[in-house]
Amino acid sequence: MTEETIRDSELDPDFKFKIAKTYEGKTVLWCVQCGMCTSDCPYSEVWDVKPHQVIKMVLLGMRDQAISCQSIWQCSTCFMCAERCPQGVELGRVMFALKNIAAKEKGVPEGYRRFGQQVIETGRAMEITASREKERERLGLPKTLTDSKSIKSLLKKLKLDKLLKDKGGKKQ
Amino acid sequence: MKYSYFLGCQVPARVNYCELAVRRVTKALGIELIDLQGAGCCGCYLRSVDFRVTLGLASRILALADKQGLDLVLLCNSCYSTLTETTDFLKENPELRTETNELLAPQDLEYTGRTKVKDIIQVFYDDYGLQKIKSKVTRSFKGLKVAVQYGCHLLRPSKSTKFDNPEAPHILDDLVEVTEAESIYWPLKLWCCGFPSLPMNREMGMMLARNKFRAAKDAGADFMVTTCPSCQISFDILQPSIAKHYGEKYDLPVLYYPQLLGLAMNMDYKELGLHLNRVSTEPILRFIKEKRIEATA
Repeated sequence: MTEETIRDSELDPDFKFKIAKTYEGKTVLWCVQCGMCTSDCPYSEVWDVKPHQVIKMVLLGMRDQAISCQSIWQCSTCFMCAERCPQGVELGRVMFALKNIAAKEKGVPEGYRRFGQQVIETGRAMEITASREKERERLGLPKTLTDSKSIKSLLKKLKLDKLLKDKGGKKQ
Repeated sequence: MKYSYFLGCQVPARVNYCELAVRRVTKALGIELIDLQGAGCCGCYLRSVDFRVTLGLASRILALADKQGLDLVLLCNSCYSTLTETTDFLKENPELRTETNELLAPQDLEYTGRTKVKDIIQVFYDDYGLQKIKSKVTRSFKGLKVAVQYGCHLLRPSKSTKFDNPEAPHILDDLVEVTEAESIYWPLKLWCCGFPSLPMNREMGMMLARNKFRAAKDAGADFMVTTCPSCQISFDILQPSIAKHYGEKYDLPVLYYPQLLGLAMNMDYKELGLHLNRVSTEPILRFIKEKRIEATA
């Protein structure tokens, strides 16, 4: 983490409670900053903001820094942090809670936007190309049948299209 | 033994050979798989974007299986953790369940909580049974060393996945050892393959896979065995480009477990899609061939 002065006036002291109220982030307040998550994270050595520091940001109310840091998006979601936390903090899930806020406010990163569009259009996150379908036929595997219409209407209700469009200009 | 069968997104998009092996082996064992009609994405990819989108997509799959009235069998670890975690979210939070069922009602679907979610590995180990699997093995791989890869999302979060001991799993090791191959200790066995990081940062995803190749090689592995299509893509499909990126050479064959089981049951390699693996499986096939000559000599 880069050295910087944290100004009291810029903190959002309620942020931790807002995260704790989400389904994914409800364990965040239990953190005692022991650093176990960081010692077990495969990305600790390369991240500027280490896993336990992400939580510390939330606890201090460094809202903008927490939802802007790259660590939350680069997390491999391996859940080693949650598995080994002696306090029962589910950091992997807290990361999702933070990403959900970041997606809404700062826009969805391109990689995920593509998956989202793909699911809206085809009902699947990955395109099954014509050559893959042909391979399936050759191997005697059944055709993949997806009820993309039903999935599309479900996603319409969940407003995924809107989420993917909003704040589209801001790149992460 | 009859199950509802859900393929997920990754397998048909990248690794059809995984499905081929599953279909052939389950057929030979008398396990019946009924395709879950109309199913699509489980939502795992969109959990970063919106919790409720994932909840909606995952619940839809569970509700479709509820309607079919059979336990749901999956190949994909990501689907497995998404669906088991969704089950817990819906069980622990009645208001989410109400909300979800209102969402599903227009499609004539309801989440009832009846359906059990199982990975294909659990079907082999728990339902069919390790001893019975062993009795079907007719070809020995004695002398070969295997680095097994469970994949994160079978083991973790263990509170939801309830798959095995998350720190010292043995199910896949046991299933590999019925073939008399040795499942070796290797330091990064429980670590991530890097696959989920690829869409955001390719380099970081590749770094994890590379660490694992080196750890497996250093430990003396002849090949790797995975249970997870994502790991399979990271290790097998992407191995050549990772090797090239780092200017290294691994040449580590990577089998999806049902491929190994099928070989051990004396099935033909082409029937199990071994010719479609990206990294040549020739060393394993050569081992079988030489063994046969040895046996007849």
